[in-house]
Amino acid sequence: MNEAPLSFEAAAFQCFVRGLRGVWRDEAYRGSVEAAQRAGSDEPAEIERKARHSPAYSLYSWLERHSQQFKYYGRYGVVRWMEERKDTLSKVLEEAAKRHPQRLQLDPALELPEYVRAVDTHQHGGGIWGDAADAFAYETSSSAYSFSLFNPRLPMDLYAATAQRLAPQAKEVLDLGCTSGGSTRALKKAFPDAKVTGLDVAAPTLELAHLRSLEADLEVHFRQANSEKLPWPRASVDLVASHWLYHEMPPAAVRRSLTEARRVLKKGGGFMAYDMYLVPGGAIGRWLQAGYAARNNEPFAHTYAGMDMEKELEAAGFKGIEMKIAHPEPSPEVQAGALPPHRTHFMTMITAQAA
Amino acid sequence: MSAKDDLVAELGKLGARDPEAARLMGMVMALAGEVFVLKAQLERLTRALETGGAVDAKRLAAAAAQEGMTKWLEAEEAAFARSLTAPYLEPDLSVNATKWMRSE
Ligand SMILES: C[S@@+](CC[C@H](N)C(=O)[O-])C[C@H]1O[C@@H](n2cnc3c(N)ncnc32)[C@H](O)[C@@H]1O
Repeated sequence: MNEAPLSFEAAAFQCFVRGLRGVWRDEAYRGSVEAAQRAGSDEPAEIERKARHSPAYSLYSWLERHSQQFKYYGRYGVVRWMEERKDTLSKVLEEAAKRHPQRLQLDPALELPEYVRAVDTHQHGGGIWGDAADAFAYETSSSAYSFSLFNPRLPMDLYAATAQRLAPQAKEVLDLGCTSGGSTRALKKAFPDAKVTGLDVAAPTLELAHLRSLEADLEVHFRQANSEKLPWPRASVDLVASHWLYHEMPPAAVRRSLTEARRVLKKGGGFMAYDMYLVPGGAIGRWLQAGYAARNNEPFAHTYAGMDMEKELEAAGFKGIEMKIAHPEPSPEVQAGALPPHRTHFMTMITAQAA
Repeated sequence: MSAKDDLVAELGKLGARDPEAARLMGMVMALAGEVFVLKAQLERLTRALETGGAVDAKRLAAAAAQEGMTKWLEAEEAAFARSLTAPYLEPDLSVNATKWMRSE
């Protein structure tokens, strides 16, 4: 379970980075919001120009960009740590791939979409698709703490519970963009009798997902495929779910992915997408979200939030579309349009049925 | 320019507001990270020594004179200086991905 445990020093360094994130989330954020309010504009670009010289926003944006680079590439950063142990980590994955090999289906001919290759998502140089070290680095990084410091494991229960409600009798379940399979295993626990398959374009993360599922003694399948072109026949699936996927895809790719989801779903089958989508807090909320997208190299978090998902889903052949902020629970003030007291990445659950 | 493009253009000026300050900030924070790690190590060591009753002034002086300690200092001075100045030379390690925010 712990192939490359962080040294005492590396773990202490991550505490330091977490401390910086605390400043970003609290004081620097609040000062930035005040500067934005002083700007008195409804246009995020105008807010950006006017708030730019506020010391709080300078610090906020510096921390947003660079605390992540510290987390990954500082002297004790997670990516550096894993790269130094790459050979061991590759062997661990190779060995795991030999156990129950039918559960891990890789496709070396699959072409990585350009939007995956070119973006350095989360400022992870070269992305998570390169090699074993990248896969382990992403896993360690994302299981330690999310960007806005909430516990990333909590929402998994919500994900599983929503899936059960949406498709209680599901026998064939897909988890798109599964990375190391945390969300896929949550689905398997919700549907112990179903065939649950996690899909991703990145091979090393799928190998790691396979290893973790063997360790958890869960029969989960993983397949290297693009959600824009699913290797499943028409009307063969009961539930298509995704956990943090669409904010990493440009609108055209999201659109193709929705059409594909509809194609493989049986009539009445369930669709769910848990991701950053609804952005509370009016123009200032949108400004902060766009800034995050730019600074943490998640450009499609910006374009996804700008899509009209209700229309898109309808056009792709879905009905009964519902969406709401699912995590963390927004306060009544936030629901009424106020900004939260700490910088928060609100997660939206979108559900629908195949019409 | 549309409001949307205007925002992306503004945000695309990553690090443009004061690049010198951003570089210096990187060095300061790298230093702070080292100091934090060091403090944690020292805290751990102090606790271990207190529990074991292991250390006195004479033993510390003997340790400082060891050849291993000298070698450690030589290696550490190079690594320390490099990690402190790296953010100045390379303040922003990521690609600028904002053009993707215009994706249709
Ligand atoms: C933020 S991660 C998802 C995390 C994961 N679901 C979890 O909960 O741990 C997004 C993943 O989507 C994958 N991805 C991006 N575009 C994709 C596509 N078109 N098809 C399938 N996977 C894709 C990436 O490789 C990445 O592993």
